[in-house]
Amino acid sequence: MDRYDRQVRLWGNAGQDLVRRSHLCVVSRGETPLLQEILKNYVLLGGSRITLYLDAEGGRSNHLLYGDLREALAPLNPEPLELTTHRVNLNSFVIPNSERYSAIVQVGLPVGLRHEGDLSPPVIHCFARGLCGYVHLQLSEPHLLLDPRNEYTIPSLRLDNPWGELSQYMDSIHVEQMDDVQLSQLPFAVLLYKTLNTRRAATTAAQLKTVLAETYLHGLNPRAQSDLNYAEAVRFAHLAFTKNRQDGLLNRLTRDVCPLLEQENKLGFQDTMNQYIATLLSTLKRYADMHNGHFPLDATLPDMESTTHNYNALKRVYEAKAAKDLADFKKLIPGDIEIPEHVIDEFCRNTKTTELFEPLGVCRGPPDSSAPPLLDALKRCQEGKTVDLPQLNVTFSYPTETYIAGLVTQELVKLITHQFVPIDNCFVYDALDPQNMATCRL
Amino acid sequence: MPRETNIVKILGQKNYEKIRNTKCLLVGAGGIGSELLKDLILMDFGEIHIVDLDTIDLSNLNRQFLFRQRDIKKPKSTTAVNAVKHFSNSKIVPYQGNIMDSTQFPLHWFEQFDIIFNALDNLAARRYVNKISQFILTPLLESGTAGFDGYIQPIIPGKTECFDCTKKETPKTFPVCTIRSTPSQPIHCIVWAKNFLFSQLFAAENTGDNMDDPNKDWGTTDPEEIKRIKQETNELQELQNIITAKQKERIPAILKKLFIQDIEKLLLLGNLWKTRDKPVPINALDIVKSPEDEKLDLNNIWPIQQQIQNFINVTEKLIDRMPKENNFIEFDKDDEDTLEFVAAASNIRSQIFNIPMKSVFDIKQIAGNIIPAIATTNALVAGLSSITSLRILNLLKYAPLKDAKDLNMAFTAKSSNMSQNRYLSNPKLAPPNCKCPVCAAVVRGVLHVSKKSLETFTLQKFVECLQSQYEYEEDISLLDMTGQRLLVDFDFDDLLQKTLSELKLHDGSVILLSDDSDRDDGMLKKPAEFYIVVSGSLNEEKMELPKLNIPLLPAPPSTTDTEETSENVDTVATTEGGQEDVITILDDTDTTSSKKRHFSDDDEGPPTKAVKQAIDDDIIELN
Ligand SMILES: [Zn+2]
Repeated sequence: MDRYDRQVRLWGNAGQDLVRRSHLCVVSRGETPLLQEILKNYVLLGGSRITLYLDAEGGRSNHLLYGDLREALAPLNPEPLELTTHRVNLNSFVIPNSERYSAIVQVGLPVGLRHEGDLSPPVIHCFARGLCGYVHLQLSEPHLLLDPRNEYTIPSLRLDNPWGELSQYMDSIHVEQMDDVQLSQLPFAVLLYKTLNTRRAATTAAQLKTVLAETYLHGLNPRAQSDLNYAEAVRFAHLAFTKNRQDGLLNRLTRDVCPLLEQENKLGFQDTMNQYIATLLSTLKRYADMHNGHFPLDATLPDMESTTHNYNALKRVYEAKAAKDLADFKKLIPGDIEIPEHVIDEFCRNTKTTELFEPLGVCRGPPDSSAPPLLDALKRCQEGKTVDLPQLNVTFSYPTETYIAGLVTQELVKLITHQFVPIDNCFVYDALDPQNMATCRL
Repeated sequence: MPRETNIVKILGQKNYEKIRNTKCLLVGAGGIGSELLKDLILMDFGEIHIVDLDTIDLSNLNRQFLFRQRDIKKPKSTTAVNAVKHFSNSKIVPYQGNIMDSTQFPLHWFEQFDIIFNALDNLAARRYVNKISQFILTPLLESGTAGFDGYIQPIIPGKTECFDCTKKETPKTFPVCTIRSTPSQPIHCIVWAKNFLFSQLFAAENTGDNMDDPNKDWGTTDPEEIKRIKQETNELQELQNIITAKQKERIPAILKKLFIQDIEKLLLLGNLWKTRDKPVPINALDIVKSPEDEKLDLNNIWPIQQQIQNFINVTEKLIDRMPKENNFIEFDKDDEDTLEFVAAASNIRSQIFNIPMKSVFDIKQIAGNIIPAIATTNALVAGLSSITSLRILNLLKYAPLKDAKDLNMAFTAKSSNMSQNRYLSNPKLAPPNCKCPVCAAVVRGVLHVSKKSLETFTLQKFVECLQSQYEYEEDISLLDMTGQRLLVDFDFDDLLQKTLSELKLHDGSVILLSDDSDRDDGMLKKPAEFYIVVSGSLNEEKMELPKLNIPLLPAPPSTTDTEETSENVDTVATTEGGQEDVITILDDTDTTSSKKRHFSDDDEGPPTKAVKQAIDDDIIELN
């Protein structure tokens, strides 16, 4: 109920806390609108620790919103602003102590900077000129997601692979003794379970629908045609099958993710959340090995047409299992690392989402063979060369810089909170000719 | 100014002078509005007029970067303007007001602007400004955000599709009997607590609903249930008396009435519970006041006893506030007392109906129709909007705009999944949708009438003038779009002898004339919409009708009758027009696909019927 209410609704209090505790390093030649806008957005979102490196020779753009940065940024966040500015020679600059930052933003610099040590946080390169610009995310270690905040997740009903209590519950419902009204009040999960357990085998949603029509509509309950629960059973027949998907996720975890994380782990992770999630992922593999290939159950049930009583009874079966699984999972977490409870809980709620098993920066495929031509043109601009594109041959670019700064800060939030899928990994923008725009992997 | 030389470079001297002479209207000084104001100033637009109704709230400060803690409760428009003065080269004029108020903002006021930027948060105002831009043919740059998603849509009247060419998400509605008798989801209980209970107890105007109207639609035909709803409403009025009489000791009586006696009465309606779980009244022993008011975590769900205690505590607080606030407290999601009351009441009701309870945090989002909002999305949408304005005004010397349809919309989404390429999508603008009730399916004009004629012209005379000027046949209908009512049609002529002023037509009224005749050739005149401007003196009789060419078109097939009867007529809308963070924007990025767009077009009926339907429907908006 406060200043951050509207954004906490996107990434939760834990996410906001990560933003609040984050430390941003920004390197720029001089003070530009792009730099100021990035800092403004970051502080507005709740960030307050900034280390800024400016070139000793770098000047100030003559098109700035803010005069004195500290004076302008401080009122945007009730936390005290910790802004330290250093003037350095960027030509020979090596970012010191880079491992202590949450992220590094390089504003308008033609080449990537080197950093001390082996570990580096994510680096965002960005630039805007005229009506064009780009954002490029460079990762030194896999970026792991805690919650992709996927709006469409597939619930793990496990009707095709039930555990003891679920079977017991389902078997305690005697559909053959029910009248049509009672049948119409059953959640669709029950109808699907019963259909799966008729003598007619169904291994696909299409087959299941056929069997459902034959055994239920043309058998048990001929009056079901207009029943909402029957309509849902048909519509959500595919939800009955969770085993294949689960096997696929486990396969991905075992084959791709775990070996990669083990390798990475030898070096250690720069990012604490990455370290936590990597530990949880390898725990997840051990859990699955010990539990017949299953992940801890997530209790989130979709809405189902039924009486509240029936729905709640079913929900209790899922909730009990989820609570037990979570407790079992927690027992397997190695003792040498202390992971906050809420991180573990959130992780377990999301083990059904694909994005968890596609660490950004490694598992999403090789770089593209060629970069978009506009990106080359922009890079030549950065080096001070002239480029024969009218939309680039201008120095005024305030609106474009506002736009690019918005994107940069948006990506920062995704990276810092380990929620939402960050850009993979470069976006090139052209306001004049959308044909030139591209997302690519560098 | 050094800024100037930069801009001259990109625009050229001639265009720079043009931008210095450009007058912008910026509607909204909220999230996008603050960003746009800054961008427009830094682009050196000559004049910027900014309109906002709202005052600043703490929850704005995470993105509306021109405002500070000390500005809370001050008007957004003037505060924003004060905050930008020090870097502004532009003339900036703030207005605190509702853009839909035609007294403060008459049509001719809009005509002074070269371009309009919409930075609004609600559908009603977006639609209104869109319509105005269609009347005066001024380009409109529409924009909106919801969380990580944002969009801009340039609208060039007559050339590209308008805001209403595609269907917009409308607020959820619920049948009255679900809310009052048979809730099955948390939102039903929240709507009950907020729209029925809270407003009845703390914000009731004693005029109320006309309960004796024999034509009133109750959402049910069960006479027993209607009787019960009537009685319940009367009893609620008695509860209201407890509040206004400050009888704190009788708060337990309110609880007993709402959560025990009313539920017991409901249980007597046996046919309601044949296919539903029966509600269980609360335990009277739980109605106890806690000695102290502890601070609880608003993210958690508290046990029922705690909910009841909270109900008592917060009701006491509200009772204390009543006399100071003229016995009228409105629900406001950012007013903690009102929010906690609604949360406690809806959770108690949820418990009774075996529905899961919700945390105060979640209830706030539902009851307040809160759309998540962040600085970054606002910044990038405003950036896109200001870049696009340069193209609309044709200010880029190297990129002259040949065809309005070469402009692009923009949708931005959090997803950067490459295969879908949705990071930023830029569909080209479509031409107006021929079925659009706003920009294509009606002819539009401005009608001038003198003050005197408004007093003397009868509706009959007025209709005759319209008919003869535009060659409509006998059967026409005339609707007052502003007041949402029928003035005349083939079987309603009661108002014909009233004068225009008696009919409450005024400066800013919009009327719709449509052809209801049944011609042999199956042709109908296109409907015409008029904006009424009242001008001139009290002495002079004068009415000036615009010169319009209203074509004859083949009549649409009459499929609407079935639609009208199948519509659920008695509904509760949860919208809260005109407030911050309220209305669902067109945030569905799927609208970028033209397939879907055209799919939704097919659902739209012919425009005149659509309008009529909106008037016929008894949609209760209880806010
Ligand atoms: Zn339209």
